[in-house]
Amino acid sequence: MEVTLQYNNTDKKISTPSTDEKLQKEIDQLNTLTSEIISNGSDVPPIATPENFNKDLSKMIKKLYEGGVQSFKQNKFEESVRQFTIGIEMINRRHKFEAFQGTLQELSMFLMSRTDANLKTKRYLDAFNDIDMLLSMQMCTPENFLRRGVANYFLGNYEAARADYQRGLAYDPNNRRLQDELETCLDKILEENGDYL
Amino acid sequence: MDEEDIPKTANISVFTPIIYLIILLSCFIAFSIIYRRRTVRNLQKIDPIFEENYPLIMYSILKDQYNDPNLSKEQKPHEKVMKAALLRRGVEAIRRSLKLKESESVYKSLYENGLIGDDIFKQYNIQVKFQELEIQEIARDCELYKKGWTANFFKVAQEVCFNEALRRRILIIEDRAKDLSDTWEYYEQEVEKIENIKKIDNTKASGVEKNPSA
Repeated sequence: MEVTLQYNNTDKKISTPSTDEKLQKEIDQLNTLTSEIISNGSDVPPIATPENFNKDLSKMIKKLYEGGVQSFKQNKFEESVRQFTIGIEMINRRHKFEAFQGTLQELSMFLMSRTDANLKTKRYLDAFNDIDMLLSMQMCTPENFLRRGVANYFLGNYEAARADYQRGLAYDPNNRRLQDELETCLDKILEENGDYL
Repeated sequence: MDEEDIPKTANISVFTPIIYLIILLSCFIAFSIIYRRRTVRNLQKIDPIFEENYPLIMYSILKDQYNDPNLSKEQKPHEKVMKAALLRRGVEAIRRSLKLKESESVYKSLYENGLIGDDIFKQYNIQVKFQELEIQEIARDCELYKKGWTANFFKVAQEVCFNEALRRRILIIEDRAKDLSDTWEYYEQEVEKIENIKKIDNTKASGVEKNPSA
């Protein structure tokens, strides 16, 4: 495999004349990591600890989250979605060698809240997409299954919604909201099949 | 009778056993070379499980430039670029090792149940061995840039690996929404088609019932 790399000493970046998309992506990843190591200032990237988690960025992210929640409480759901989206973009800008656990916690908070805001704005597909992503990252809580179930229900995927409510109930059998939603969903499935209880 | 019992002796040169040993050793060496070449040739025939390892290729090219005495200081990659390139190589090695670890039980159970052949199981085992060697080589290279970096290198590489995986998933969200939307639209259309066919069939059936002579 023939790969040509060009190095620019001014900005310490690598480039290639090749049009291979995968190679381009790898070069972008390398350039990002190089600039992060340079901006960090230390000789080699430090081990991720809660202490070297970028606190300034954490403050900004927290502010955006609180802003989003505030907008949600004031029924400004569109604004709330926008703020959560900016927050997610900001989480993406953290250095790659910062603590993964911290990043994951922040991200899950934003995705959960953006799902709620998307459900309120009736953007069920976006809501499903966010919460499905969160569940695929092993954030298996009854509330998350409830969120995905609601999104599936309004998207007309009643069988998928039923499965979600039942999985949520497996984690918390006494969850009243999940029980009610499951009942509604089962009625809807019967109705779809031309049947009733 | 006495003449027959006398063992016959032949004078041989002192070099004869030495020549014998040389021939024996030569045969052994030739066999070993041929055997090794054949093993390497067989290994080369095995397809790798993973795609092209770009971080490794990039690091090798940059390392050649870094160690090239004919290049000026400006043309040589900066040390931090080399560290980043090595880290990227380490991240890819960890990602591949994790993928192999994840699929270990699947390969084993499929092989034990006879659902995959020796060739695929051998391909998997060779890939595992190859990854071990890759990690050892990375650990050796770590020491070239900073003494004692190996101890922390893989912890940092693992963190970078996880964060990159998370970012890939976040960045794919928008494309995923489009794909999901297309899939559901397709299913809706298919369901509509089936319902229309059912309606037509029902109308035809009721028409036949109303006019049985037809």
